[in-house]
Amino acid sequence: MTILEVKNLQKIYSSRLGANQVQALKNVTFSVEEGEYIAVMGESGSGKTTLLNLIAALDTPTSGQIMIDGKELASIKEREVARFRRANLGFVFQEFNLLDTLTAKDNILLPLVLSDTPIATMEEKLDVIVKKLGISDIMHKYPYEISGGQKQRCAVARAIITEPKLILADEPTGALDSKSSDDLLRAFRDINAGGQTIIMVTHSTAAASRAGRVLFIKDGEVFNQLYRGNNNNEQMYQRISDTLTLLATGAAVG
Amino acid sequence: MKMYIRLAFSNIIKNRRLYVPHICTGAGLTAVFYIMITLAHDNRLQSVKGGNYLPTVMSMGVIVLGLVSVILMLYTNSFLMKQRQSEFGLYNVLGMEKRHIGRILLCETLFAAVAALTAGLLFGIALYKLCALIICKMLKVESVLGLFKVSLRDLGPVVLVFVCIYSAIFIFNRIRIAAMKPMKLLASAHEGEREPRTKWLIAILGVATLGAGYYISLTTKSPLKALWLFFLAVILVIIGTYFLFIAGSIVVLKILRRNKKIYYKSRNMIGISGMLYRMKQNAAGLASIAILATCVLVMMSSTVTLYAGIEDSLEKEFPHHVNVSATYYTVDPEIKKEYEEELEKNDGYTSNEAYMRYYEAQKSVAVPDDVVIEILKKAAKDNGFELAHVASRSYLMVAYHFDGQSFVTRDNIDIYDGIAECFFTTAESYNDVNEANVELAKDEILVAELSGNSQKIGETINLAGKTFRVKGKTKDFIVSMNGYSLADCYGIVVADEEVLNIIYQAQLEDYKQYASEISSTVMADFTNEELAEQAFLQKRSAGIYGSFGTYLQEYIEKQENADGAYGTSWRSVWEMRSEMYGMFGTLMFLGILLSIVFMMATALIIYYKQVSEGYDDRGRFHIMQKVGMGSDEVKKTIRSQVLTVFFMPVLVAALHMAMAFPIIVRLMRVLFVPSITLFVICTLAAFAIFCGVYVVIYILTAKMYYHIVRLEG
Repeated sequence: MTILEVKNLQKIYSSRLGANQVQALKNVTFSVEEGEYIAVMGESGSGKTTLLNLIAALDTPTSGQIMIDGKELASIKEREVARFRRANLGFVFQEFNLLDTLTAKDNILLPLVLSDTPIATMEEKLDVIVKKLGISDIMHKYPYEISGGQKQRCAVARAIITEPKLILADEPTGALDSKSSDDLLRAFRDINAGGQTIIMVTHSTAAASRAGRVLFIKDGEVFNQLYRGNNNNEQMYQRISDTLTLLATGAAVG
Repeated sequence: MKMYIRLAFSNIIKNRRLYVPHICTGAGLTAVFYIMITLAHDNRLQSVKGGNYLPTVMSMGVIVLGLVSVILMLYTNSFLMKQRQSEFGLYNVLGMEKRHIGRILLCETLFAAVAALTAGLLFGIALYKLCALIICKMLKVESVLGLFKVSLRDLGPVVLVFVCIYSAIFIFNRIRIAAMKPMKLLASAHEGEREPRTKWLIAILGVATLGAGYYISLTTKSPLKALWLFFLAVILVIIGTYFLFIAGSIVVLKILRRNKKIYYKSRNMIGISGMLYRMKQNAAGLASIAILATCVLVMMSSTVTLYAGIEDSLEKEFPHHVNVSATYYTVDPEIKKEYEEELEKNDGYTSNEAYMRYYEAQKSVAVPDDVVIEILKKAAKDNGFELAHVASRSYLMVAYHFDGQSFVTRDNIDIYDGIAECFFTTAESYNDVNEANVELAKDEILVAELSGNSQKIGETINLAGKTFRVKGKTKDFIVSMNGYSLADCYGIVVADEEVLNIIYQAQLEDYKQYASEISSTVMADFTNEELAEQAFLQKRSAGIYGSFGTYLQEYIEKQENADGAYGTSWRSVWEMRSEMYGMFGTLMFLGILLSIVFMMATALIIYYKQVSEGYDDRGRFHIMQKVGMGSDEVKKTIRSQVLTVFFMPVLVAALHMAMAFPIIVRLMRVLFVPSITLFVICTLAAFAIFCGVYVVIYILTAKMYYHIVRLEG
């Protein structure tokens, strides 16, 4: 089943007087099936964060279509966007975005609290997720008391606790050391193994090599796609590196 | 140097959101300072009737204002510096030495000081005439001010005070810069702040001190004690308020957080955690607002009550226009002769013993009421008006210890606790003054409570070795106690002269040389009131007073053994009115002026609170939006959080005011007997005004807050 469908997406940023126009996305089309784990790669300025923002309904496209679970984003009323986002999407950011006024536990519960979930349900869900991510013993600590890796795992827990259709991760390993990155990517793989769809924007070849499919974006267009097939992580890493080299040297699609 | 000036100037512009209120505060305070000092010294105003209270009252105000100025200026400055820490850190990192930063700061402070002082003085000078006109209106006198005038003499102290304040600010900031560690400053913004710890001890202390303050206010009965107890209560309540805001709020919020049913609700979680977090920085500010608000309520309500109650209280106190009594002295002719001989012998000097013998031999004799009336008639006629109505009253005033049952003569006159001042009069006198028709048996009395007394009167009362039955209570008496006494006052009507005499003899026996005499007063109304008013508003040697004295002298000269000296006691409604308008009008003006300053201070604290919180919260709300909160929801959360934080101090102030009510009533009784209804109305009005101003401040600052967190639209 197709969970996300992006068709002919175009996004143009213009300055206030319209004198300067920047085309962030030219023409992007792709689709994501349920249970897929996709990495989006590209150089700085290639438009990958713009793409993520558009899928997250944080921004509106200039033209083109985004369908999440068969529902077109543009058709959702302004007022309901927030609720739609809360119910269907989970977010993981590079800079964690945990509230420093809440404990780790309360940060994870935040989306559920916002939709007024009964306490028993919340705690049940929390218990399962927290155990899976190995952060049960830091639940009563504040963000400033725990490490970056732990923060990011809390953020992941917050993203998946609502059981979203789609998790959007923006450079999730960008602020982590290699050990923590590894832990996080393992966590992503486990989550994905449980049937969760993930789209991850990343710079890191190591991170992308864990994904089931890698999408390369260049100058606002999908430049290439790699499917994992039967490759292991090392092989995937090699293929991604090759493609990146191609991308950088500007050769035609192979 | 040019560069520093340029940098300083652009810094002020760049930080205008922080600098403009700082400079405005300086200017506003300067203006009020100038106005107060000039009012205290303006001899044109002092020469008007009632203007004599201005110097004292305004000097009092200047002291309060001075304190407030220092605190406020340092407060706004510390905010300014806190928000700019990373800016200075950056300068330092970019290679500027601390002394260079110091120079920039010096220029900035100079700019700010010059701007504030210039604007403030111009403003003060411009507003001075308006203020003086308002005062004249309040004192009910014609304006005596001619043309616009600048008091150069009063500019000096104002400039001096503010130069001192700004110097202190500069030194303070320079020390801060010297202690600055740039890397830490740059990083400090990203460091998470610890959750505040629960300080049970402080919370309990807060409850205890606040409770004690309230208890004092609610239970203090004697106005004599009320004055110093009032200050004690004020200090206790201030401490309690700070402690409770600082520690109590955190205790309450933590209890709320522990309750899962309350905490895990979309409405509450962000609010409770946010408040818990920000209480650490804001508790002191909120407590200050609560206290400022309470000050405003107390000042406005009490001074306006005093002022607005003048006519009412005059009417109660002066059933007739004028009260007068006169006495003269007699002396044994032998002793007088001895004394005069001694004087002659020694060229006008005497030994102490001789003088004391003569002095002790002098006896004061009351001029009989009918004589006083006769003289008053003649004196009035000389001044062009006539007696319309006249009554005489005689009374005995004795101080007792009273426990609700018995009036006992006091064996230690230094103890003020439980004193009751009793005014005794006969039924005849009472009927005469009040045009009543009361008849009493020998063992019956009528009781009037002349002040809001602390003891309840029972059915019977023991007095002078007898038991009297309280036949009834009355509101009227022959004297009223306004402005007379700090003790509880009772008026007691007895059957006749005989009973009065028994009471007189009893206290004479106990008090001996301190015993009281039965005295009598004539009360009179006059025709041609306007003329009479003018005559009675003159100096004591002129007008009707002069003519009265002359006729009195004529009378005394005819008396046996008269010593020539005499005394008259005058009280007129006209004089009292002008006194009261003078005193209460000046007090009200000060009350309102300080209220305005305090409200300004409140606005300022809120403004800086909102700005600093806005910068703090910006990131937080952005995260919430990313996590899936709509901007509407974010706004709702902010609003409930801001509203709670905003209106908590006002609620606290209202509670403080309600609790302070009894003791303020007792204190006002020192000056006059306030009408409780009037005081309640004034308090409610003051509260309404404060709330109105507060809501306006809220709307304006909230708008700016939304602007800072970028949630507008």
